[in-house]
Amino acid sequence: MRNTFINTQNIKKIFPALVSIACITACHKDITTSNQTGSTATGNFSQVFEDFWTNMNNSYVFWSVDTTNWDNMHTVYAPKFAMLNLYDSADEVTASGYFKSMVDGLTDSHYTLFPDGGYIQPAHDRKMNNPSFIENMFQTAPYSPSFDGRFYYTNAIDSLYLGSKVVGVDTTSAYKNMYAVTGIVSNTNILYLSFSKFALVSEYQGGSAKIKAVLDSFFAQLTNTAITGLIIDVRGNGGGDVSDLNFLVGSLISSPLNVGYTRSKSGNGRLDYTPWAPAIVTPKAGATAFTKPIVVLADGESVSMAELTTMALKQLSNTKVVGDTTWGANGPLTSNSVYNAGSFSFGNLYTNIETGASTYYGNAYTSSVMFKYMDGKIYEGKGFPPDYAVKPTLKQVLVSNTTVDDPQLDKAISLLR
Amino acid sequence: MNKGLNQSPFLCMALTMLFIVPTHAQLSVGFEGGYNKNYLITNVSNLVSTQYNPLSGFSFGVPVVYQVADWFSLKAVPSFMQKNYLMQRTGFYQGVYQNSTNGYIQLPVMGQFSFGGEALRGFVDIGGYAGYWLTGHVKGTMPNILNQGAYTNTTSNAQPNNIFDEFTPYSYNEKYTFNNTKDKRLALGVLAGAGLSYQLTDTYKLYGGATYYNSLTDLQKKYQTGLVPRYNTTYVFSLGVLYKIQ
Repeated sequence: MRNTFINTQNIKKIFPALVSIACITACHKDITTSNQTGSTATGNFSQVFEDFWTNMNNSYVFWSVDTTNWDNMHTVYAPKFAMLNLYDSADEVTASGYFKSMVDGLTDSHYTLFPDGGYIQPAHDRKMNNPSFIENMFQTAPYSPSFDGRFYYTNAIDSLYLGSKVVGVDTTSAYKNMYAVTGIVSNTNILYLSFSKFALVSEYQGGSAKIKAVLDSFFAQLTNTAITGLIIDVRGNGGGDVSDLNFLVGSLISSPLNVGYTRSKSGNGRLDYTPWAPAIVTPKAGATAFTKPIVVLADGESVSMAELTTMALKQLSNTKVVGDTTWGANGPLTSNSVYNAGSFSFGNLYTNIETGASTYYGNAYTSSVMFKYMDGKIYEGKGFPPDYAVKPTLKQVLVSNTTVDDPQLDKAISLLR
Repeated sequence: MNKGLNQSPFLCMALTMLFIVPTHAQLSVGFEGGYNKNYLITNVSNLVSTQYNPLSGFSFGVPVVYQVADWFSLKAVPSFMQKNYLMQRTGFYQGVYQNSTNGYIQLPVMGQFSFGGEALRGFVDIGGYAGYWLTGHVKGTMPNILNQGAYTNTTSNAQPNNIFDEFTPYSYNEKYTFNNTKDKRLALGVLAGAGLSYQLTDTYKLYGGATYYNSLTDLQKKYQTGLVPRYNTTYVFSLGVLYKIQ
């Protein structure tokens, strides 16, 4: 019996083990998750809320630094939304208030929520409650650029500070009008450049000939040996295309410049992150390094690409930053599918069977990656501080300004004389 | 996860132990090593063009076998085992991937039920294990939004075929940094296996077999509501040798 391989008696003894193996291999893990971003059909406020909460949970990239207790938001607001009717106008107003309370403290300073046609921008709301914020210092100051795209405190610079200059205005620009000016500061050899938004590449390659003329003049002056310094003024600049980083900063360097790092999400968990990827500015072909002193003028209305440009230029040893702490929104954005992170739609109410177009309850505009500066700090929600803090004056910010009173620009000039 | 099903192997094991009657105890030690394939069990169906696939790895250990009866032994194998997996994106995002190479130190403890002749015998293993996620390494490629190519004064109407026609790829190969808030490094699970052994001499025995390791613990701590769990499931094919010391 013992010499036979198949031993009936032993098989009986190991029968419990065979049963156990069957049990182990039958172990079943039931794992569920949400549907793809924006694809969840929703019919009531509870479902809209759950879709929003889950998409924020999965796609928001700042959870590692954000102090918002997102679990608590679910605990508090799930029962509140359950009491609302999606098609009751009074409840829609109530819901908007709930959404605002949920996102009020988010770190992402790009963050904008559009619930049911509404508009909630937490960073802006926080700044409007900050007495030292530029818009609150002077109640008469307008927020938006004037018609030609000038921001209020650059209004008088071209006429009052610059001698020879080139001014370009594009009133056909897709998002607000664009204004750009370059020139030599009067009685100096300091080159000055200002523009109201980052659409430089698109304007240069197929936009306004006037804007292109400004940029051509600026690039030509960079090689003028008589120039003693450079001022790049991004005050009031709301940002724009990330491709402008290589276009502008890339014209001032001759070798790649590491300006920080970015990371995005790598999974659904709040703390699922990719590794940090280096943020590199690549020089333009044939560019020579601009080695003379540079001053970047920035302030609390310098947003996104205006901040990234300021931080990138600050990596050059010859650069100082003058003005005020920037807005604090420096995480770039792209479509959600690139990183499975960032902006998303939520609450798919219905899909038109003829056009295929879906109607959503709302959209969230939020960064796709987190940016970490070379000093290891994350300035999202905080803003990048200047080397020389100089507050603006009332005359500086008035649209009707016709007198020379720009202490920030004065400081920049004094540093370059 | 169905807790009732997951706990049932332990119940079966306990019942089995009641039938053990020690007759001639022997103690053996040895060495085993092998190849494995690990599957990350999770759900990423909500992520665009994203999937997890298994990766192969290796394991080695020092088996200690205490033979209680001619048909039953207790076995422990202090060991090192890789549990690797691949995240990859498909379609337009083809080329975005991450290999995760994870090293665990483990202590599988099992009952071994054998049957057959004196030289050539079959066996089945049933037991559980505790492990510790010791090392992590990630290698992959992803889009780099802030590393665009040098500006060129030309416009192109070429349509992108792949994500890397629009973004510069960033390839990385680095140590994984554990996050104490997120990563659960202690792993507990059950195992089952089967194989053949051959008594080479009075003191040496060769064996080979396959073992299925099924983790019952999530790779993540419960640090948030709505967490999608992740489990390792590993198939190990190993060869080993035992030396009878007592």
